Amino acid sequence: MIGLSFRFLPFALGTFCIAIIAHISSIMLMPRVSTRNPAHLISKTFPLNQVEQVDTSQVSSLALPFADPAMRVAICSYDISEKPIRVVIETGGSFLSVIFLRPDGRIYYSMTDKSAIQRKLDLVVATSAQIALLESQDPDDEVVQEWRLRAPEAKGLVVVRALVPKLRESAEIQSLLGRTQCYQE
Amino acid sequence: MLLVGLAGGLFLTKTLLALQKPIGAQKYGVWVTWSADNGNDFDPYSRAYFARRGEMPLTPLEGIALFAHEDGERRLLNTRCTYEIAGTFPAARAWTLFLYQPNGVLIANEALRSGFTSSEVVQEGGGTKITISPEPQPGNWLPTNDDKTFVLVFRFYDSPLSTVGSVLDAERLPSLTRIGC
Repeated sequence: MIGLSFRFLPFALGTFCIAIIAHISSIMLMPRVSTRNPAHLISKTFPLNQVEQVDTSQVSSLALPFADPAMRVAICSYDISEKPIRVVIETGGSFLSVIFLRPDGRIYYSMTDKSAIQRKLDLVVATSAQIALLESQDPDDEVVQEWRLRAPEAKGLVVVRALVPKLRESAEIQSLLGRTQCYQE
Repeated sequence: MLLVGLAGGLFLTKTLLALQKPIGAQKYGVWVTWSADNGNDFDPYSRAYFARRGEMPLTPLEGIALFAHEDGERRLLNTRCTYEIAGTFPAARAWTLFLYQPNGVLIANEALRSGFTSSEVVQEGGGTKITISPEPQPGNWLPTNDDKTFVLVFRFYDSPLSTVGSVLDAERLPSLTRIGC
């Protein structure tokens, strides 16, 4: 009986190791391969380097599960392989956040309206080389009034979310988000 | 051996990602939530969980989301029952509360009222009390109908609760009590 158990031990150990490898690989790859990943859906649907407001309601084709209906969302899907993009967001008194995602949906930076200067978030998303070039062109006697973000990959997403304080009064927030700009410089 | 191992590993992934409290999540009383190590992104299990579910989660800088699938006695939340939310509401610039079906679609009702924001609720005696019920209720009432399980999601925006290093415990969160069915 013991001899039989020892004969199966290598098989059991091998199977166990393969199962662990398969499990860890599938967890790590899930954001890249999941067809439900919102970052994939958005990248496929939206034009590059321009702002689109997203209808996250349940009737939309982009219905995001567990989306907060009190949040209005604007998205810019970007490609900075040739030029950086500038994102200009107006803020009001209500909570507003901006998150920056890699193409697989991983977040590499986020900020809120607390970082706004004179009710405006002026952001430049660029590669390391593009940021170095921008810095070399900065005037010596002036403080730069923009946020510069080093993007880890040439493609990605900027997601702006603004809270509607009262659900039936969303026009003001919608119009605020409508003034968001995202363009290549 | 290869096939059995692969199938076992993938089955383990599917099972772990289907849990109501997946690996990477924390549970405080009835509330399940996620935090991030570096203030921006989540651990690999949580990233896989959100990607599979199709959800775009709140980053810790934005705030904290609390999910409840069951009441304090571990019974699944059901739209035919009456629940009361009261107690401590964590400090936040704003909060929202919505009812969803387990697949993430909002619970519909004739009043078109699936939730509240902090600007909409009426304060009673210095505190906030919200009642979820199929029967009309005084005060902050979230109407339900049918006989379905649901998920309650609280989101606290710009809250010190979500900052790295903050200590969360059930005492600092709202209570969720089933009043009757």
